[in-house]
Amino acid sequence: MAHDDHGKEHAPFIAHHFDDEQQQFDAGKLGIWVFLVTEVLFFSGLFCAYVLYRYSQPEIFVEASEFLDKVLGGINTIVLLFSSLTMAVAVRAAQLNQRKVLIYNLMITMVCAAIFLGVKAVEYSHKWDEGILTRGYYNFHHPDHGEGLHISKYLYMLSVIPAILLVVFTAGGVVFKVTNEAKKSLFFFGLALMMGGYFLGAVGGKIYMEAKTKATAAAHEGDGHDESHDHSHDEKDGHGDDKGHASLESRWTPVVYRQEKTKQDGSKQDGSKQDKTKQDDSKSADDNKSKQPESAGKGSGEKSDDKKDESKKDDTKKDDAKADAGKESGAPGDTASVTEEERQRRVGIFFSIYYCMTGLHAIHVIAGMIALSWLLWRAIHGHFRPDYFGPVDYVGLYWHLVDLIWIYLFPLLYLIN
Amino acid sequence: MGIAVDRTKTFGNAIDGDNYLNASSGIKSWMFTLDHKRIGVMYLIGVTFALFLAGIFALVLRSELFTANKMFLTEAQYNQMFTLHGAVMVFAFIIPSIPAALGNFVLPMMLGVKDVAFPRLNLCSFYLWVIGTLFLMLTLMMGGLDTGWTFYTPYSLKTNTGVIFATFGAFVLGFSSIFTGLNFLVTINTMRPPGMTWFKMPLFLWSLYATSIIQILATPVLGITLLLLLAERIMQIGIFNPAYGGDPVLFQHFFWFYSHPAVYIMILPGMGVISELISVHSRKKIFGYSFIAFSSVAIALLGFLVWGHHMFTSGQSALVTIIFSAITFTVAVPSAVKVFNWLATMYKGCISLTTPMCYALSFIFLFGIGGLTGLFLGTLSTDIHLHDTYFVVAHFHFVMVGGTLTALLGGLFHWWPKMFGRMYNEFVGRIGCFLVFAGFNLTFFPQFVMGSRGMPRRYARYDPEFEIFHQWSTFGAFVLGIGILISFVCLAYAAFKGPRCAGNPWGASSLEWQSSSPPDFHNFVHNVALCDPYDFSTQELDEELDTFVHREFMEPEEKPVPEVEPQHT
Repeated sequence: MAHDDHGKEHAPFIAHHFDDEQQQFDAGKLGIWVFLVTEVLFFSGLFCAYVLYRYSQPEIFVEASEFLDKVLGGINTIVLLFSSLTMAVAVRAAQLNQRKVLIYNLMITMVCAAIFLGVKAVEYSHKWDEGILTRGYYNFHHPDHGEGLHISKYLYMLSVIPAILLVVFTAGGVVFKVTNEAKKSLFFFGLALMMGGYFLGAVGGKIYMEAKTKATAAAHEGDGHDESHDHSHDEKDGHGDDKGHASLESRWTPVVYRQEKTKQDGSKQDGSKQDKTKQDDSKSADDNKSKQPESAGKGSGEKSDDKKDESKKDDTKKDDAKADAGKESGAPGDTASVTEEERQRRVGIFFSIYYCMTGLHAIHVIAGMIALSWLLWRAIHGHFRPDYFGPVDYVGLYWHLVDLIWIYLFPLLYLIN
Repeated sequence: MGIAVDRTKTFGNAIDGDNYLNASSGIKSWMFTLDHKRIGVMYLIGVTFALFLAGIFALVLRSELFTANKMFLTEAQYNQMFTLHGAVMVFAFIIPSIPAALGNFVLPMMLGVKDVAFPRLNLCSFYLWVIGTLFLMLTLMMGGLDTGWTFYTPYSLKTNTGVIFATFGAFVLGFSSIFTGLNFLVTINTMRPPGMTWFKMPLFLWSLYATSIIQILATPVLGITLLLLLAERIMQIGIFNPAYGGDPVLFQHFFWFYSHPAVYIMILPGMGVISELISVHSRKKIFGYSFIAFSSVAIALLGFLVWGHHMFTSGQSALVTIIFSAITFTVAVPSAVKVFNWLATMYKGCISLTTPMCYALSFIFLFGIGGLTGLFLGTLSTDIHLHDTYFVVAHFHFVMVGGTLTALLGGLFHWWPKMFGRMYNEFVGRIGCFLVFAGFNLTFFPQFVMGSRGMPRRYARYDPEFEIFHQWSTFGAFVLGIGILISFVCLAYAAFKGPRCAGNPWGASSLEWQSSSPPDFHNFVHNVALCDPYDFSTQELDEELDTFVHREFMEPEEKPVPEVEPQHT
């Protein structure tokens, strides 16, 4: 409305074009909700791709998901859920004018966000070490660690920026402490604390991974009990490096492959027949089908074998369809006869989606950390009050959405089987 | 009854008084402005630049097609030309043209408020537009782009041209569009003045609201699609790449899930502008207000269900194809509702053939043809024949240029006196309008004929039998170009040298006219008097100011009336 309508005193936090705080709050609230709608739609494309590819090749998703560590994923889920709680408490504190509670809860939320990223960095770097990359670059190999602590170079790379920020923020905090600017000092120490959270997550994740690797190795030594344990590798009963390598191999080979490998080792005949089928490009799908019962019959009749055969059958059919496309663009892997390696590469489609989804989610977490830092700055300067807490509320809603997306991602990616 | 105001200050010409143009000065005062009017003007300059750039590409294309054989472009250069023409026109010009340029200026004023809900987001949206457009320009220097504006996979994964830059540019432009839509939606929802109910809003606001819904619901999907395309190029994720078992048709689905609704982002605001122009320049209450309002929303919602009609020949299942075809026909219904309502509004109206009205009339004609030829393409059997021919090209140019560009020009002429406080030259304006209309038809009508005879689109060389049509088309393109140039020169001249005019030269009764021209920095010097936006009897001619003033303000000044709230009816 016209400005003489605003003869009444405008509180300083109300923008000039709003009539009153209620209108401003409502506009912001609607704005953030609409923004969240766009965010959901943004992710919906990825969920859509996930559904399509999982529907068309469910066995690959089951296999691939075994590469993901449920414990680390679970820890991250708990961390994010907890951060949602502290965020909610922060909103309440802003409404009740409890400035200290607000500041501390914002800080805890930020630290949780950073822990999440730290754990994520461990997960990512571990996969990169093993060549578990997107479809086109997928090149799984067993990590060639020796004994002792191994820290991936990728983890170092991912940690460079957090380390720099940690130093900068700490220095900032100290400098402002010296110059007696308490508010700025508190703000910078808060940021430094946040970056500390990253290293807490990264170190914690790393320790867990090391322990896990050792535990798996130990389990192998004592002739395994693990349900995903593969007995085929127990023949390698050597000692020292050799054994360590074997245990790592079994640890990092998804269960279905291991079964296939057993099968191939066990009945070479069957495997060669399969290969023959694949070599002949002109063979129709019907031919394949007619062969399949034979090979299934040759299998021991165990459940796992049936499952494996089914997945093989699917793969064979797909190969025929894709052979031309593959040749044309010089795709890695000789499609005329699909090797074990090429079959593994198919798993890459899962990781393509995995990296897109979790990567985009991580970007949202980082954006959330920036927004939270801004809130922290304003909270420390006492901008929020019971009649003006909109920004805390809006960022809170955004943060809950980020959390919620992870709540969907975790079971969809980690808990398939 | 009546409100005592200084009418000269409130409704007069404010070029020498306080207005948004002279509220502050210096380049920074424009670059960092949060004023929706200035942002609107900056957008206007920006999209005009994009229009001329992409228009030059179009003229180069048409010149190349003057003969059946090579004139001066190689095939590869030709591919890059039509790609950039399409990409710049669609992403950098048409989508932001009416909503972001005109809408930014007019929307808050139509609501009688000082600004949009989030002025900073508004400015951010403008700069995202600038960045996105710069990336599109950058592709010019980085080896061009030859995928067509649709970036179809798998070709866009193989070509060595600047897919990454262009895709990123379109991605950023998408966010610009989302933020504009979000801003407008929130503004209309939460800032309508008391008394202005949904069905008392001007129809332009309804169409902007419907547009915002599409921008919010469709554009994020484009965002993720382009992001996946980028990931596909950079990280080989294999989702769209058949070599890795991906599905290129999935890309088409994702792309058209945005880009078909985006067609309505382009045309709906144009329809809103036309609703205003027809009513004001016929001086008659709009016919079937609620039908026009609901048809905008209906178009927005139905627009989400028809994307598959771009893929009738891409290998969809027959059932899906039939369903998409059927829904496509239903979109014609709300569009036709609008056209008939406009015609009924003009019936027995007091039509004055001002330049905006001339554009509105051309819009109805051109949009009519554009819309009806769409039905040919929505029909499965004819689409098999017409798919990817010049018939398609002519169809969407009738809608986008004949529709949106015409509406934009009409809207500019209509609101120009408000924006700059100066009147354009009516004679030159009409000449420009005539040239645009004639040139446009000359360009694209032959293309319908060519297309139905089988001339495929996107070909640099063609059979000599089509030469005559192409030559007509090229002549027409130059006439159209000259028409657009004359129109913009006319407007630019008017902005600086035109005769001054006061607040409400058209006697329109929507709220933006209850201000001085150019408007004050705060839009309104005085409380606005709410009234029916299409009841022109509320406006009375103020002889002294030579402009129309709401009758509430016409009472003699000496009666000291206390400040009252706006009329709540």
